[in-house]
Amino acid sequence: MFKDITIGQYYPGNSIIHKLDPRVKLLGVVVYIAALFIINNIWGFIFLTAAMVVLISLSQVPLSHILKGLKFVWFLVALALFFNLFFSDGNIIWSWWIFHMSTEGIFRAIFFALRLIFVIVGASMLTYTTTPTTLTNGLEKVFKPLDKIHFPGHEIAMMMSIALRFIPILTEEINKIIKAQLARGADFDTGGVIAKAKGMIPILVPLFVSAFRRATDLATAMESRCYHGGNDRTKMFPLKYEKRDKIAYFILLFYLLASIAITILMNMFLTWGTV
Amino acid sequence: MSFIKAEKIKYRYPVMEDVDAFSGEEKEKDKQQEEPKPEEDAIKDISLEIQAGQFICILGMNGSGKSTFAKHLNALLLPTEGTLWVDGIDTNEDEQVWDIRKSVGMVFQNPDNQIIGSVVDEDVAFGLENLGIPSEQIQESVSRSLEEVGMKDFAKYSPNKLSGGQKQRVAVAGILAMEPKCIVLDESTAMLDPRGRDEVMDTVLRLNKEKGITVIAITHYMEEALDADYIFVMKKGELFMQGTPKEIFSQDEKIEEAGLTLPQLCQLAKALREKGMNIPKDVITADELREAIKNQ
Repeated sequence: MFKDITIGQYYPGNSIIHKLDPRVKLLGVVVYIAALFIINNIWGFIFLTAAMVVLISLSQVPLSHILKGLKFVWFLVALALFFNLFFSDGNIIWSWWIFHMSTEGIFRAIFFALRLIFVIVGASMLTYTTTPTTLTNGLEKVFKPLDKIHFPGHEIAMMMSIALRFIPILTEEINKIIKAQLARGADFDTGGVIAKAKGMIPILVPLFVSAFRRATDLATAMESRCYHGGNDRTKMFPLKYEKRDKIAYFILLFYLLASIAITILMNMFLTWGTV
Repeated sequence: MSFIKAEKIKYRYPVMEDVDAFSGEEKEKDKQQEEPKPEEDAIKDISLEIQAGQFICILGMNGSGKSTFAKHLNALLLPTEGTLWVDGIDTNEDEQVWDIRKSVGMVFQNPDNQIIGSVVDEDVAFGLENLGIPSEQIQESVSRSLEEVGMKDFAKYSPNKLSGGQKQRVAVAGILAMEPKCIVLDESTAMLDPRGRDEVMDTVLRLNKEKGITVIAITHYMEEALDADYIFVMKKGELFMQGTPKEIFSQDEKIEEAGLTLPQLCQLAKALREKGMNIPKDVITADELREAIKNQ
């Protein structure tokens, strides 16, 4: 049931991208998404695709793995394509009943679909190449300056890492509960949507009860190991910037500036292809 | 001086029935209507002393208060009445609570619910990180502790990939890294298969012998208690019996009164005795039993 979700799952590797500091990668995703929405012409997308190809080949994550992760996104892409293609106003070139196509619509549809795919690919490159633990460590560090305004950065990071730790345990638990309820004559497969949704209740209630019980146990265990919040805490492997991280920051800056430059320059020379 | 000293400690779980769960206000109506219930103390008037470096077993059936008592040992619960000293520190003293928890580590029952890190070595480091130890020292202690419990090869594994016995050994390593004076096993072997149980007990007993760490095992497996230096038996919140394994297991009626069963070996000895063989009551090891049978 939950086994073939590849989107966002760490892909073990030893590439330069895997080794980068998580803070660099977090900023990278932000810059990447910003750039993705800045560009608005075909050359921008070519530049972006080229950058993505370089990134993927550096990360050594196989393309097939990335495409498999997009499995759940295709539906969304198709929906966006459909509406942009047939309902956009502008220079209309074809129309039938309530549907009409326009040149602007075609470009908008293509760009929109590309953006959607690129956002997912870019964001999942972060999680493919970063272990959840490193990622939460990175987030904790990134949020550290916000301590002054009482933003609970450490708590959020701790919650995330505990959640990640318990996902496989609770998944196993769900499967056990399903089997236990089936053995008591529960029926999960027949009936309409509402009947099926109702069928989830005998799974969810025991799951929540057990999750709360686990939470109590875990809190006791944490307390008995001297946990008292994020103050004065040290790390076994503290994050440290290496030379490669500094270089990566420069590349990111260059990439952002290049995206802006390409957009402005190309819009000046070319009037077609703009959205 | 004894490592742990309890003087007439009582504990009563706070009763929440009279309090509205949402507003936290007391429901006045209910209070007037209902007669105040006779409240039960989870543990009553327990006084005992435990010497440093010993292997202690606390036995008792479900609901005997043994786990409640265990939670007092590192100040997770504070006695409602009476005083408990751990390594000379009164557990009621708020400022020293971290010192107590550092010197008394606890391994709980469910192996999954006490592992915090998503990688084995990170989990072992958790306690040290909380204490604010410098990074290099943490790395050193973590690899040393993992080696001591025989889990060094699994340092980079996900805890989900380990067996129950291995997970409990990781939990022991996490405590060991904090260099405790005492390890409390709160039914830590109850959810394990026989092999896992042996793994955990062997590890802990070796630490007891080699490093002089006091081990307090809370259990209802009588077999674990046979190796103990001293045994406490609890019944309905009270300290029911105490003594060496020989003293305890020779009183078979009293053991049954506490809701426990004799270890298999003692059961065998008892059965043979009932059939008319002359076997002393304090036989607790296979060698002693063999000797007793030979002497017939």
